[in-house]
Amino acid sequence: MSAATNFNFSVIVIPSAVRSAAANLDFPTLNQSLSFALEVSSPSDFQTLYSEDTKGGNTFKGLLYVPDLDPSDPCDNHDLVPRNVTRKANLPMDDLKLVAYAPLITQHCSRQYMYSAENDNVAAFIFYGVPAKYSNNTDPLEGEGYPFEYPVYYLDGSIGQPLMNKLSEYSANMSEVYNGFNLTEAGYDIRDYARIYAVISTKNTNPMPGLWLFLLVVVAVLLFIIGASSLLMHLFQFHYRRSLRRRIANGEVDLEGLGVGRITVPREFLAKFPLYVYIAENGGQTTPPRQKVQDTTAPTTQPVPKEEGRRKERVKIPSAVVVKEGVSIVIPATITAERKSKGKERVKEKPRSPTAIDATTSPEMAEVSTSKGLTLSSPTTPSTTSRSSPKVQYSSTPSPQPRGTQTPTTTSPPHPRGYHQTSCPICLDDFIHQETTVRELPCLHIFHPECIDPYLKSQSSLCVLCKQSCLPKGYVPIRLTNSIVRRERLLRSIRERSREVATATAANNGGNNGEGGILWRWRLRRLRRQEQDLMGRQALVRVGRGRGGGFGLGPHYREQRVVEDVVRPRWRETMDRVFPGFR
Amino acid sequence: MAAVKRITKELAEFSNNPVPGVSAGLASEDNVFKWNVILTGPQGSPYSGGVFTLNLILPTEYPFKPPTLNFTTKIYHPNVSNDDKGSMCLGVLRSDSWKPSCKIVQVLEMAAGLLKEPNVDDAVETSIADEYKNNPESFEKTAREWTRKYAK
Ligand SMILES: [Zn+2]
Ligand SMILES: [Zn+2]
Repeated sequence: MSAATNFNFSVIVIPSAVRSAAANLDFPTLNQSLSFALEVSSPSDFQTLYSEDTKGGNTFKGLLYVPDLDPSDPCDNHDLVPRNVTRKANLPMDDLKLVAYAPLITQHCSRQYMYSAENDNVAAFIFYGVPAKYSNNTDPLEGEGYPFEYPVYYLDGSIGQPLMNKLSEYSANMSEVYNGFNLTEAGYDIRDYARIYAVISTKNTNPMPGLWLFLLVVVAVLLFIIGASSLLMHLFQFHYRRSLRRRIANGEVDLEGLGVGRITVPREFLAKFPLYVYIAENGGQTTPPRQKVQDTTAPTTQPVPKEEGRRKERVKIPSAVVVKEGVSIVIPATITAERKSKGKERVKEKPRSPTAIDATTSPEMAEVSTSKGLTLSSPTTPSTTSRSSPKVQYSSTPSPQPRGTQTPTTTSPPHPRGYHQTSCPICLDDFIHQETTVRELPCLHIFHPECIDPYLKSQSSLCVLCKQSCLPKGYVPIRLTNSIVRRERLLRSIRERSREVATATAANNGGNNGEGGILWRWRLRRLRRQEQDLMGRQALVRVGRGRGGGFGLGPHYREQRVVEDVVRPRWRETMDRVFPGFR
Repeated sequence: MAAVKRITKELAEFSNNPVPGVSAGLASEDNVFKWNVILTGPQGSPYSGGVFTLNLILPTEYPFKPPTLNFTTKIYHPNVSNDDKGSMCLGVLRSDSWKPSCKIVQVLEMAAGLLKEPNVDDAVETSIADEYKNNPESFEKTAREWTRKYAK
């Protein structure tokens, strides 16, 4: 059904000469400053009571008049309908399109008016509301069994009654209408008719378009909200990823501690960790007598040939290693220089006791080795030992010549180490003085290369002893996904809380051991458990009280591997992509 | 296989230098990854007079991964889970603090040590730990009872 959107009332002039109707009522409008015009477009002012028009978009127009009732009919209440209101008789022609106008008094009256209008050339019917004392406010169409040929509208009484009064002003000829004197003065023919002309615009009120529009708006708003929050979350995640990358680069993050898959040491890094021949700190453990000599005696010729001979016979072992690894061992110029400057003095101070030196140099060595780890990557230094004789003894000898001149071992303390290690922690075999080739990790721990290399290549990037990362600072070995970022943040907060709780627990235990202490310990335990769960490690997870729940049975535990991020439904994936970091 | 070599070496070492109160051996000759361990309750502890059997399982990644130690004899102890597993909670056996340099002997020594003196901070049975701490008499009584009941 189509509904009215707009009512327009204006005064038109119908020349008296026109006797036959122009169907389109194409008459000029009376000068508005001298007459009146009314536009009703506020939806609260009108209602569409009936319309059989389904298309909408039509306009219904015609001259406004009040249908005639029997003069004795009480419905023609003159309080409401003035006597001189425009009636059919006041219209210049019979065949003009009309718009009927009447007060909505009672159902009976409205029916009377409409029956009357049936005989007229009516385009539409407009009822208007009247004060309650005149009306019982019934629907004029109630009980009507047949469809009218014209649409029926309702106007609010506050507009309708003044309009009815206006209608009484435009029922006579030009001189008698409202403002008639000025109109004739203005040149209007006194014989012409000035009448109120109504135009009702309608539109289709098919409820669907409105609903669709509403839905569309809702969907658009939702999409906007989703898009905006997604964008915001992406921005946040981007920021988090960047900051995590920065922290990894600064070496502030224990990557392996994040429990994100397996982080291993790439071959090229592994190849840069120095390989050298093990020299006992005070060789005494393996060969006490010889060591004794070396330790105490000044340069003698005795050990030199021995060294020479040993070296020759052993040359093959490491060279095999070296060739397999594709590494030539390098003493970077920087280190040599460093040793020259720093090492010299120290060696001069205590030239006779390599053990002591080792002890004093250990912090120093950490520094050297760090720089070594980095400089080794650019083996452009000329002091590279040739491939044919890759056997190098790392030694902090001040003597710059690495080969040829046989510096007595007495003045060249063995490769200083950060730790006192005499056996391989993995296979438990003892290192053999001047024989075993060992791999030194950046943390200065040494191992058999055949023991540690496969592990670093395939299992972990951490030193098995000190759990320090073997990867160079600033190297980000994993693709930083949002889930890693989330896990890292979560872990960090759990660890922080757990630290706090631990301090609080300690403080609490110091004082009393009552309920508070138990609570704090319980909190600490819960946090630790959360941490373990998060790490995906095998954790002892409490799953409630023992079967019987009885006293003495104690809590029941079961071992459970917490697996995360393994199989996730598709929607979660999508969800994660749209709302990263949402949990 | 590196693991087998090392375990064999450790086994030989252990047989040469046994630890008092601890006896251990392979569960079956062809599998070095499974050991049977027998702990005798130390004098002066509520476990004295008891004989506790344990399973020591070594992972194939040993020594990079820690072994696991399970009591097959029921025991009332803060560090041993009170279920059919009887897993022993030992700080060094946690995979993040495990070091390959730690030998099986040392693990067994620590297990024997825990019988002498439970470690409340590493407890897996918190209620027993609390009892051990706050009500040692009642703890000892139950532990002794269980020893008499299960570890003879
Ligand atoms: Zn080794
Ligand atoms: Zn290390």
